[in-house]
Amino acid sequence: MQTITIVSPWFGTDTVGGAETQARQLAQAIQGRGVTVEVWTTTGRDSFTPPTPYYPEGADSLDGIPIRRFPLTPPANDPYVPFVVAQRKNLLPLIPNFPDYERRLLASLVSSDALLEAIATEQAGRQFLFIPYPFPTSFWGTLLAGERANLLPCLHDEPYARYSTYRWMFQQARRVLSNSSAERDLARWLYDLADEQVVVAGEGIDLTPHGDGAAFRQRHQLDGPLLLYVGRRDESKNVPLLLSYIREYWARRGPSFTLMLIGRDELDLPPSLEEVVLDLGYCDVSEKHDAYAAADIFINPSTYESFSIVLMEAWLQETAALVHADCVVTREAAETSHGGLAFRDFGEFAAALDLLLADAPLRQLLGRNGRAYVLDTCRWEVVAQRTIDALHTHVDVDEVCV
Amino acid sequence: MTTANNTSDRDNQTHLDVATILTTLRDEVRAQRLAQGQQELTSLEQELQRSLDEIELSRVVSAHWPLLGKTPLQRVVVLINKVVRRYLRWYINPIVEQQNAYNNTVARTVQLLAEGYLDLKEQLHDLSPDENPMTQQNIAHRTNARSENTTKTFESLKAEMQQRAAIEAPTRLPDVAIRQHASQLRLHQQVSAHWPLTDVTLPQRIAVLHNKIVRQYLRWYINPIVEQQNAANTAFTTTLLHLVRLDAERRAQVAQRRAQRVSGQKR
Repeated sequence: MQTITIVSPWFGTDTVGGAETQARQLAQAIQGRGVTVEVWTTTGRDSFTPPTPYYPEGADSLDGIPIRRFPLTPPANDPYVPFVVAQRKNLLPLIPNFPDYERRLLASLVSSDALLEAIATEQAGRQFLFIPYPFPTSFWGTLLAGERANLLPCLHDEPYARYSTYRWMFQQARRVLSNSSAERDLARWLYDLADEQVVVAGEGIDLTPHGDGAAFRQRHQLDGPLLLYVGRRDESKNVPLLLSYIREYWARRGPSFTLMLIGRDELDLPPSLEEVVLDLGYCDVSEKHDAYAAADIFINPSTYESFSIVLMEAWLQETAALVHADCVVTREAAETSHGGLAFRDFGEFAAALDLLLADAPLRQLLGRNGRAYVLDTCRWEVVAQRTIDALHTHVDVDEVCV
Repeated sequence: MTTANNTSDRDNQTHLDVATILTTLRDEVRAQRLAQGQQELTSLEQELQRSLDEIELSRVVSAHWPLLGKTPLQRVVVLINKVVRRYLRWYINPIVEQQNAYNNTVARTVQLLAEGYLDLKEQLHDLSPDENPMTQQNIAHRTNARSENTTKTFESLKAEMQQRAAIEAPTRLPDVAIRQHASQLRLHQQVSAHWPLTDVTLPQRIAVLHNKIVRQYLRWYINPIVEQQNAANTAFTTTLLHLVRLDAERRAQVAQRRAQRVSGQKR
């Protein structure tokens, strides 16, 4: 069986991010199925820190997974074709004439020319799995790996997903592995991919944590209804909308709840809103699971999700959820699991909170439904086996591309 | 001078026409506000509205205003100017377009802040002792009409949520749009006179080389203008972002007062 080589811009103990966490846990799960797996990455830390070396270059390992770290190629202002691609005259004619702004986006993201060189020269006995989709490591890597290129895109319905660069890249990939059926449908719709080319491998989470909600409430001296958001606190995750909705709900219903926010990034919170919003900042894994267990309702207002680890983690602790109806992935998960409600506007947001906050048995029922769904769909061993099968089953890209 | 006088006359005429249209529009908006039960604008707010109208009229910079000449000599000068302007459009137009993109974002953000201010004013008006939009009956409806049947189907739960949502009073939340536009300010504030000049074919390479030499020569003239404009843009952005943060805090304060009032009614 061929070695599965996961290629990610960032990978390591101090690396944060949804796709990066997924890459780490997937690598472990694949190795657990007895398949050789290796990670190729850069010396950078993650998307939250400047593109400078953080980890040492060369061989490394994490959780027993061998890692090769290649030097970073910093972002550039002008579009460029990496030298390893430019020197392969057979590849250049394959590249369409993409619009300048699309090539600029690619150039502006972290890459590694040395990593791309290794992809070009050390292909024997490997299947590559590129994660996530927007980065040059995935774009140029897919071109260089040819029949050995597979994508784990973590695709969201975001503006640059419509760029012709990415449409071309998806069509070049041998296989596209999606985290959910909604993500698969989006990929097929955006890029005209055939059924056989896109496989729903799913995503897993660690199913072992047991949060202690009572201890969390005691530690933070919290009582009354608790709402919780976990993740990046910026516009891409729709947090300003959540704060506006919470402020209006507070104004209309009175101060009968607390919204807790957990996340590493800075939050510009109006001082007067601190009466109902508690910024907990960064919490370690144990504290985060305690917070899920303490919360009465977990809210994910994001409309850009390909899976939502935090939603699954909240359900694992039997917490009812409230998600944005414009995010097909989380809405489908809520409707399939019966673990939560989806809001489209403030009226639905307020109505859902009214219903859930007033009815503890209802919340508990939804929470139990959510947990059952997670235990049924988020097992890493199942996800890993689907991934292995997808990468080792023959597929002819020329036949499947529409 | 004749050309200048003609241009001035035409400008005055255009200005009069626009002023008439704006007055008509303002009257219509005023009538609409009164019809919707909203408060009439104070004189200060009317001044603000006029300033906003001025921003809308002047936010677009043009590098191609009309060049006119009556006498043969003026026509020759105009012809030379047109040739120079056409020759330099590869250089000047992108600078002007960048500034226009920033001006557009500023104008929209200021407009939204002004709308947000009026929304806050309405909220404060609703808080006055003689106004009571959230009646005791309304609160009772929301707190009592809650589900006690946890065996209900998921579909009926969704239906109940939608029924309740339908009777929820509408909300405007202008700050959501304000924040979206404010986040664009930093993206657009830096105008560049030195964007990359791309080339593919040999003629393009020759043209690019020529343009680079011209741009290098003219930087003594253009760069200081762009730098001054960028300094102004940065100051505008900083000020607007402070205003956005102040707006957020004022909204939270008004929400706090509304919440206290609702709590008092519940008790």
